[in-house]
Amino acid sequence: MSEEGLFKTEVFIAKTPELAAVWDFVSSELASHGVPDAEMMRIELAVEEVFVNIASYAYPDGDGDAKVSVAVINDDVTIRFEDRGVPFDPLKADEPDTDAPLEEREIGGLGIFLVKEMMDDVRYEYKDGKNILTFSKHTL
Amino acid sequence: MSQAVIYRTAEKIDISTNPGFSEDMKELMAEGNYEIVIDMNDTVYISSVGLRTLLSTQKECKANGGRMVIRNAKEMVMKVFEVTGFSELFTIE
Repeated sequence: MSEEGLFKTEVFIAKTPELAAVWDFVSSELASHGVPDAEMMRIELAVEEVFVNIASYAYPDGDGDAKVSVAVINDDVTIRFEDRGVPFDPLKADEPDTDAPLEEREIGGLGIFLVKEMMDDVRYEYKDGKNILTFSKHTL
Repeated sequence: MSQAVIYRTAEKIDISTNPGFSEDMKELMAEGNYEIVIDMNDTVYISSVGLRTLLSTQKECKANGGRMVIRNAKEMVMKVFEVTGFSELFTIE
């Protein structure tokens, strides 16, 4: 079986209230592979930040879908989000200045920054009309 | 902080619970409470929306001569504060 065959996939409406359903799907996959709780929490954060971004910005003119795929291969968790919304590479957005004083701190960009910090690897590509964001984390 | 208000946060501060947390903070400050202790003993998870609420609360308390103090931040919460640099901005006891 190819690695692609190891992914489990579900499609969700890209709306923030769907986050609970997305996490139910992802967490049950991770739990079935025995991913430790401490890692689950960090992965949950990455899932929330990415899905909320898609729900908030991908489809400004209406509804759309977000396809979520999960694989656990040799203790490496890989999660992929695909949408057909506005092309946007979140990894190219400006990183927040984490040394700025309180008065100057802006919250924008913190979500994707957290994903990069919490995961081992985050990749973006635009392919066949789709934003594809993939992140992975070694869990042992 | 003799007249500080102590606020206990929920188990999770995420996209679904943060609106309630944010409303509670706005209400406390609208009532004139600018000395606020955020007790995070029960909180095991925080995402960027929760950071936004904490940041705006701290800014408003400070602008009104008070302060916000965070207590009992647990492992995942502290990790989020640390990687974002918020551990330097917030008063954490």
